[in-house]
Amino acid sequence: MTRMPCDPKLLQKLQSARELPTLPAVLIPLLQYLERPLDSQDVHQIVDLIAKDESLAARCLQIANSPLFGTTREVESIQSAVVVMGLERIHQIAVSCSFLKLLPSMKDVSPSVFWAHSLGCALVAREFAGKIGFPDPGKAYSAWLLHDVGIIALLAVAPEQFATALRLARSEHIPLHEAEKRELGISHEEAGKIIAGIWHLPPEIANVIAHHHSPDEASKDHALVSIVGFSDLLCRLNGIGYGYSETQQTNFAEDPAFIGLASQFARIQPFDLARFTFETEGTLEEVRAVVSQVYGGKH
Amino acid sequence: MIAAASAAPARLPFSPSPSLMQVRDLIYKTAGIFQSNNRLRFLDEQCQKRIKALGLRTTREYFDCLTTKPMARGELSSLLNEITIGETFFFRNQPQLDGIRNVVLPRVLEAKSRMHLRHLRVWSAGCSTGEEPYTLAIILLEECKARLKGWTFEVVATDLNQRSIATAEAGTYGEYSVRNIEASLREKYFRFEGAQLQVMPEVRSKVRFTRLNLSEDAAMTSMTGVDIILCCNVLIYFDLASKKQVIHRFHSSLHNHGYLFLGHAESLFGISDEFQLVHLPSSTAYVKSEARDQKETG
Repeated sequence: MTRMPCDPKLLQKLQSARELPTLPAVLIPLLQYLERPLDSQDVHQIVDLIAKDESLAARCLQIANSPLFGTTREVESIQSAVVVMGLERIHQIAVSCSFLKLLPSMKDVSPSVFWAHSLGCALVAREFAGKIGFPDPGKAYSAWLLHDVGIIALLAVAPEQFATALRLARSEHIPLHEAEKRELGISHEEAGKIIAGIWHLPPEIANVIAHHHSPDEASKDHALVSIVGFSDLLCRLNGIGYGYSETQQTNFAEDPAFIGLASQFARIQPFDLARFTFETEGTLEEVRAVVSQVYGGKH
Repeated sequence: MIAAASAAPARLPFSPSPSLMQVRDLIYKTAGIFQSNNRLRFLDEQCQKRIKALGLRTTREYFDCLTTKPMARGELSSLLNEITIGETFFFRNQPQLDGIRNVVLPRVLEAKSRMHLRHLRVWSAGCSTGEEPYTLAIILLEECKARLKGWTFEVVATDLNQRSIATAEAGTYGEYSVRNIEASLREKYFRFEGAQLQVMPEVRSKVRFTRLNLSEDAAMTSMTGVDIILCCNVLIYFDLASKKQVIHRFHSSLHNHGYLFLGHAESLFGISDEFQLVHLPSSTAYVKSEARDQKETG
């Protein structure tokens, strides 16, 4: 693959942070909650935080009433959602919805496509993590949801070049990060690493953002990074990518990230990947339905 | 950009009963076909049809019926007929066909070129009334001016049922069978015969129909040098021992670069380690397991 040298002006723009979007105000306290032990989390504070923002609360209820988060009966308020689904699930829903606030400023990637991919990856990663015995997949959810924020950074500082990279990826049916390296000389992983630093994101989230397409290069949090690398690829193969299909064949049994996970988690050997893939199809169908509902079918 | 969000849900989630989940797991364990969450409502409807037909009351009772001999095997077949719709049509699984055309075909042709061979052999195993092998022939004919330029190909189509073979050879189909075919392809490869559509000789000449029992070892050993096998919604009706035997024979029939395709949501997990699962865009396939081959040859 030919890699274009990265334009120093682009790099400067990323590092200066002047053109980068700010992290949505509501997302910051939600991420901070993750750092606290579960028994010291205050339910009322999270409920108040969500309820204060009417559109956020309404979107949270739309998602809470979809099968994605395992609800079995209709919830009509954030308070009742917490009672029915538990604080962890509501927290995940709130993080997913507040992340939406970052997206409408984008020009060249439909926000609904981008959100569907991020949400799909986080949900598939959570399911997979639960099956292989990864500790505390609920806590890792936010890291998985935010894995592609580098795209937001690239769109902010180089919208035209990013659009060219996306067109290249679409016409050659290749992974987006490869097209970015060819067109911009920098991938959304590398751009994401810079924005993660500017936003002071926790180190494990920063690691996921910086290495999800190359988990071997992560010096820490290898399993956390590999799980989203796997789910990202599975989502793209199942049509929840960036609005185009990649012509590739993947043998996960030969994938270094998957092999790394298999050596770490005994439950992967043997792991029924076929069944998990079919289960994922169902999850992603629901993701499409929810995204279409939240965006009013405009995507 | 974001529509005014309303707190009211568009639809209520479907809550499957524990018995329905047991039926789902039983189908996967015994037949190897998985019903994902978005198909649970459909699975429930098909179970309710069978519950009514059998004069039962609950899904729990139906699960017992599916697990109690001597009824179990026969009833499982009846349920499988309901969930696979029991009828086939042209271009039934578009993602699978796209995967064959855009991902698998270039890889197979590259491998065969290295062997200095320019003939492609595709096998539709359990071809029923012929819609699948004719679909494959149409796709490959479309590639004759592109990827298959300078190549020859044949589609071997086999089925146990002689009547299905006769229907397939006649090559005449009603509107239901052809509803998924693009208008341009329909015009090019079919002609009207009254209310029915007849497959053109150009396509028919590429498909060779033969009666074959997949469980008969002697007949299976005659199938060699195959590049791609499609065996969709057939093995789900076999018991575990027969499935293992058929898969082993498929393994012998295929070239080392060969591919095996099953029906949508069908799996070989727990059946064979002679094949490895690979993922293609929105579909899956099986390739010969290199580790196993090395073990056998080494």
